[in-house]
Amino acid sequence: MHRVTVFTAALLLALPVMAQDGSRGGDPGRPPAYSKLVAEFAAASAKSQVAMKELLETDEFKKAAEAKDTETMKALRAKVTQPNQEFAQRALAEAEKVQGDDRVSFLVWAAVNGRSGEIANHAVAALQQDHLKSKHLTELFENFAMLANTVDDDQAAAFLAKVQATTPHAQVHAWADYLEARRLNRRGASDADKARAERLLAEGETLAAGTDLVDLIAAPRFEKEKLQIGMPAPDIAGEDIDGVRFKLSDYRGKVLVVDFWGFW
Amino acid sequence: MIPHERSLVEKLKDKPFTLIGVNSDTDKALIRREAKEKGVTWRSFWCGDKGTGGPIPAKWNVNGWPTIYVIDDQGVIRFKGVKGQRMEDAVETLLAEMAQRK
Repeated sequence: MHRVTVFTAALLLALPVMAQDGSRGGDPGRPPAYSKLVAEFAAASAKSQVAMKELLETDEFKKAAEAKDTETMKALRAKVTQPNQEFAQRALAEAEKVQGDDRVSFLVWAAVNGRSGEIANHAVAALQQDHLKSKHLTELFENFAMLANTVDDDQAAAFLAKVQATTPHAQVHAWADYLEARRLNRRGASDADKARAERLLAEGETLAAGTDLVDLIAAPRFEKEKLQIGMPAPDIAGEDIDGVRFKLSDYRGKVLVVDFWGFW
Repeated sequence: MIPHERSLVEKLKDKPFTLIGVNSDTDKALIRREAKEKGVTWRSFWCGDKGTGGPIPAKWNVNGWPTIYVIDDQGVIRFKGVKGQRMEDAVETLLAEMAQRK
């Protein structure tokens, strides 16, 4: 079975599960061209996934996999057309036909789904140029961690700084704080950068009060303080795949494996 | 990963053990299809249409998948980040502990 079992959030960009538009798909506030793009992209992605699945079952691919011939495997995989870049280019073209938040939607879609540094950098530059005050920048930021390897670091830093200085929206500001802190906190960060990241996280936590973003900002601390070996497991409450509500504590008295997973 | 979990769930089906997933796929139809195809029988929280960025993995600071916690019958976290055989060993250890207390 050829499947990816371990990866980081940054790598998610390369995986088909992200070839979706998340919560924004059926939004009636979008221009028709946007819904059309999203729907057609979903169909093209599904087709591409089927083709990839079929490839993995071919003798040629299996032989290469057996011989650990990564070059051939890569070449065979490359033959399966991924629709991302084509659709992202289309999104960029659509963006130029509209204005305001509609344009933001297309630019964000292109950056998030394009799997291309060039496209993502272009989209971020356009957002920085014309849309620093849009409250819809959150849509980009929700996916921004994934774009860490796609958007140039200098550009990301400049963009986040501009947003922090310009946005009138607390939630957008909080996202920019959080993402800038993540950027500063990368491996080998200086003490000065770490201290600055701390301040940004504190500010972001205040600005994002009452939203899900607070949990994300507080997550490293939550893990350190609540999720260590020997500590009582915090409860989880939510819905299963069928929409039935349940809690982790419903299963108290049994040995539990809690497995964060996905098929992707 | 799934084959190992499937065999563990099957093997321990008569023991006081439950595997709870936190699924970060965004497409419910895909989850149902794949679950059927791959014999996934265990219950999962669904993280919503934000997938890996959904509220449960966000709160638990999950940045890599799979991430695994093993919790004993008292509700205490006993193992973190154990996969494959190590996950199985962890579960067996805790089940043995429970049996001894009786």
